[in-house]
Order: sequence, then structure tokens, then C-alpha cells
Amino acid sequence: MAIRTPRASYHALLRNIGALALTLAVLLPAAVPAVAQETLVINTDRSGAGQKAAMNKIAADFEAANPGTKVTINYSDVESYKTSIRNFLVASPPDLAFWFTGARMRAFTKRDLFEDISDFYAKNDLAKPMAPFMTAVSDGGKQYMMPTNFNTWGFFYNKEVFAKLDIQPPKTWDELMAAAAKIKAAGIVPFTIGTRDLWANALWFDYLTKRINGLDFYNAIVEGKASYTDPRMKKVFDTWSVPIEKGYFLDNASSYGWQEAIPFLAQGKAAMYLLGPYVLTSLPEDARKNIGFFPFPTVDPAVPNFEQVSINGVAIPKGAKNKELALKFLAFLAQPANLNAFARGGAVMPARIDIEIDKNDFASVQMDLVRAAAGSSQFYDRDTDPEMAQVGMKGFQEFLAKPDREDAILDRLEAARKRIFN
Amino acid sequence: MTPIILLFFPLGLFLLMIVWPIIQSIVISFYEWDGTGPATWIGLANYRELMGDSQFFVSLKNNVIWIALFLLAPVFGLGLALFLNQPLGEMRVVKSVFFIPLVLANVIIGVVFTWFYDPTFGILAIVFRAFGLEPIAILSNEYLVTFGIVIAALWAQTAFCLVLFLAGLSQLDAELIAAGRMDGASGWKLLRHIILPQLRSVTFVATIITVIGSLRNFDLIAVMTQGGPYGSSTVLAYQMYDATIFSYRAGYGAAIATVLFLMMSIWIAWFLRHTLRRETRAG
Repeated sequence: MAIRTPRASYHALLRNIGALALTLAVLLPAAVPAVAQETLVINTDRSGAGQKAAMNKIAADFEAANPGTKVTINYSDVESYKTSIRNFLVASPPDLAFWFTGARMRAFTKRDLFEDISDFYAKNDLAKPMAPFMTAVSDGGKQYMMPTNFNTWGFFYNKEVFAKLDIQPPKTWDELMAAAAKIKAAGIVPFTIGTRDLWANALWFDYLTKRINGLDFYNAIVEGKASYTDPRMKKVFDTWSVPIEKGYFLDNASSYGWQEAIPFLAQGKAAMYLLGPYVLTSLPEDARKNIGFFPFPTVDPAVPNFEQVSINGVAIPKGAKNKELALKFLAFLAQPANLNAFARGGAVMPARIDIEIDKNDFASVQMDLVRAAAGSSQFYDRDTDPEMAQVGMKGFQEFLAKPDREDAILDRLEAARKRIFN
Repeated sequence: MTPIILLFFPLGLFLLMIVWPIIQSIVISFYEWDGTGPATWIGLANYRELMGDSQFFVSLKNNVIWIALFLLAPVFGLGLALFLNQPLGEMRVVKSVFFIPLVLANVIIGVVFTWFYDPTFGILAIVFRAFGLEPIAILSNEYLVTFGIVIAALWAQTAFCLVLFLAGLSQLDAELIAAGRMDGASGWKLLRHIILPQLRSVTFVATIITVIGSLRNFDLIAVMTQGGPYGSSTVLAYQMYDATIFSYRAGYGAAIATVLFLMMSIWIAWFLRHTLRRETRAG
């Protein structure tokens, strides 16, 4: 028996292969013209579990809807994608590349690496539902990317800690400082933060600059038109230095990447984290329930609440081999259901204003924030020149560790601004 | 005729893959170039800027620290090799334990040491707390950070030198040692006058490779600190990467690369001179 069974199944297998070959032989002549195998290559850094699953499903649906096409998706983590994109756009361009909008996009359009897709919006009736995001994907009046999703930023807090210390989500800067003092007194770190990869720290700079001096001044700074040694900038750093000098931030922040600082919040060792919805997607389901959200509080009542709204998108590289198919995929991705599924996989908002949002979802909190904002900018490293962003964020990292070096840091940033924007 | 044909392929490959990129980098260093767009000739401006760039001198200082500390690797390697070079069966196991760092990729060593140094959850922090001390955040301290990374690198480099020295020790002339013993040499004297002279060429190779390894070090820094905090652990190789990739300044990055190349050339020239001289002597 022990010998016969494998034999039998072996024969069965042979028979099956024979049948399969026969079927193929019958089908193939008919199938060949249709299977003019076209491959669409997508490079993306949206590799979080939720967004990856959503993207895979969209790709599979696209393949099903367009027989003969094959979608290949190269996933990469966010930080390494930032270094590899410049290489692959030149050396081996995919058909679609996900990327940031704003100055980060313009760094590539300036170098003629992205395809102009201005017609795409009219052809697919997307100009209206995507209207608020058009500035972010435009350069010189032309559009080079399709916005996919956006997100807001703010404080994520540990609900248990807040409840235990009887703290309400602060609405003003003074309330925030009072809450931090109370949390610190209880032996808990008020603000967790990881600055090894620099950018998380820029949120404090962005919010304080906008909330103290207004959006126009912020725009002047990122466009290199205002000075870092301006008294208004000094006021930002003076305000920022208060929580730093009082020891409200996590010690040795530069030892941690932005993700490595999240466990402090989840474990109740820290109370708040100024970050994006990535806090939620980085945590398991049950830990997520304990995390609440409140917007960055008002700093100066005379200045309206300008917000931080960051828009991501997708572009067709100039060297793409399959531009027609890429446009077809973009239109497919832009369908409300698909764009919604894709965005929600990352706990962010789809870049269409005509999508209904569940009131109980965190997404609706973000939507309300955007609606109530007096105006918004994206993010320091998407709004300013890439080199300035690098010098600036290193300066912010140093400031968080050594606030007494404020003047030296600002002088250095000013010298960099003069060199970069002259 | 045949030698020329036979030389053609390797020489062509060498020119194409090694010499040409070097020339290209040097040429790029005279341009202002973002890596993809048009390039503008700016002469020596990149080098002039380098001379006024405080980050450049931080990197240079760190490179010197790297070389100086990295030279401990051959010393430790030799010490360990002498200790492990015993004809005991059990020693095989011990030897392979000391080889382990050599098997690991540098990136993994970097990640492991980052966890080790983690000021909250790391083993080092736990040890500090066990003694009632406040843990030191080595990777966040601008003065200690380079030393912290060098220690991680030394761990791997020592294993590498150990292998070289073990191989060298197995080649020792037993007769010479026996003769030395007969003349009454033992312990330190035997090591100093009989064994070390025979290990000279191994020592030389270990030193040169260690120095070059310290100059081109990049991966550990990228993994452990990304050059931070605020550029204080950056070395030339990392600054070159940072300037080219994040600041879109290929010309400036190429200028840093050229300086690094010149520094390495000194060592390589010395290495070549030494080996060529020995070969002529032997021939």
C-alpha cells in the first residue's frame, strides 16, 4: 500500500498534466492575441501592512479588468525609498512612482524627470474632486502628479495617562505647558520624540512658526525670502526652548528613529507624540484604542490656526516604458472606492473631496481639521529646498539637544539660506 | 603578441570599471551639478567651500579618530591569535566563536549595537542601572558617538585581523622556533625576536586593510546614527553620501570623494611600494 499510493497519485498527476497541456493547446491560439503581455511596474514606499494589502487588491482588480496586463509592485520602506528614487528615476524608471508633492516633487520636475499629466484631469473628470490638491502637484501651471492621499498632524496621546492625571486635551499653548508640567511631575515623559531620521522634529518648528508668525512668514522662510535671524524666528525658538529646557521631551531623542519613539507612548512611559496617523498604523489594534488625538493648540489667539496638511501622490517618470497603461492605472486608482481603500489602509485621507467619510473614523477628525483650518502648508522638508531642509532639520535636532546653542544654530541656518537661495 | 591579447581583457575592465569612474568623479568635482540636470563649471569653488565648511572638519577629525582607534584591531587580533593558536581540540570551538563577527554583515552589527546602546531598553542601560548609575546615551552624545560606532566596527575588524594572524601563525617556521628555544629564548623574547619578524608581512597587510577600512567606513554610521546627532559622527564617506543624495549636490560630493581618494592614495602608494620592493627582493 505504502508503495502503491504514491504510484497512483503519480499517475493521476501525469493525467492531470496531460489534460492541462491539452487545454492549453486548445486555448492558446485564441489566447495569444489577447495576451499581448503588458507589464506595469510600480515603485512605492507605501509599504505599511494596511496600505500594501489595499494596493495589492487594487492591482489584482486592475489585472482582472484588463486581461493581458501584469502589475509588478516594488515595495520599499520610506527612508530607503528617499535615497533610491533619484537613482531609479534616471537609471531604470518604473511606469509609476509614488512620491511626495510640493517642493519634493518640484525637485524632480525641475530636472525634467516627471511626465506632464495636465490632460489627465480633464479626461477623467478629476479636476473638481481633486481641486484642493492641485497647487501641490503643479509646477509652472502644469500638473505632474496625481494626489492619492493626504494627512494632518497633531498630538497623539495616551488616554490612560490623561485620565489618571485628570488632564483634558489642551486647547492653548499655556494649557499644553500646564499639562506637560503635571505629567512630568508624575514621572512620565510629556513628549516622546525620535529625531534620528530628523523629520519628526520639524513638526514643532512648522507649527510654532505658523502659529506665532502666520502662514505668510512661514512661506517666506521656506522659500528662502525671510531670514532665520529675523526676530520673529527668534521668538519661535524662544517659545520652543521652554518645553525643552524644562525637560518635557524624551531624553536622548536622537538615539531613536521616529518609530522607535512610539512604544514610549503606547506603554504609558510618555504621554504625547506630535506626529501623523503613522502612530496608529505602527501600533497593533488593541494598543490603538488607548491612543487619542488633539490638534496642535492655539499659541497666539491673534493668529488663526494654520494647519499642517501633507499630500502624497504618484507620478509617471519621464522614462517610463508604458505610459498609456500607467495613465489607465491612475484613472483606475482614482476611482472613489479604490482611492478610499488605498488611503484608509494607511489611516490617511483619500485625495478626493467627494468621498463620504464615516463619522466614527479617525479620518473624519482629519477632515474636520482641514475644513476648519485658516490655511495650511505641507511640511518643512516638502516646502523648502531639499538641501535647506537637510541643514535645517539637523539644526532642529541640535536645538532639541542643546537649546542654549540657539543663536549659533540660527546663524548657521541663515548662512545656508544665503548660499542656497542666492 | 599573446600576452597583449591576454592582458587586453583584464586591463580594459580595470580601466573601464576603476580608472574611468575615478577620473569622472574628479572631473565632476569641478562642477556645480545636481546629479541629473545640466552641470556648470565652477573650477575650484567646491574645494574652496570645503575649506570653509565646519562639517568637513568635523568629518576629518572623525576620520582621524577612526584610523587611530581602528589600528587597535591588528593589536587585539594578534593578541587573540596568539592566545587561540593552541593545539587543543576544544580551541576549534573557541576560534569559531571569535570568527562570528566576520560572518555578520556590517549592517546587522550596526543594528545590534544600536540596540545594545539604546539608553532605555538596551543591555548597556540595564547594566548601568544595575549599578545604580544613570545610563549614558552614547549615540546621542556628540563627544562619545564616534567612539561608540568605532567600538562596534572594531568588534568586526578584530575578528578579521585574528583570521589573518591565525593563518600567519600556522605558517611559522618550526625549526626557527626550535632553534630559538635552544638558544634560551622564551616568552616575550621568543615572541619579539622569533615570531613577530616572521609575521611582518601579515601585520603589514592587516594594518593597511584596517586603515583603508576605517577610511571607507560608511555602513555602520548610516545604520547607527545617520551621521548624527547633528552631524557629529559624520565621516568623509558619509558626508559625501549626504551631500550627493540628500542635498542634491553631486559636485560637492565628488569634491569630498576626491579628498578621500587622495588620503587613501597615500596609503595605497605606500602599500604598493612596500610590496613591489619585496617582490623585487624575492625575485
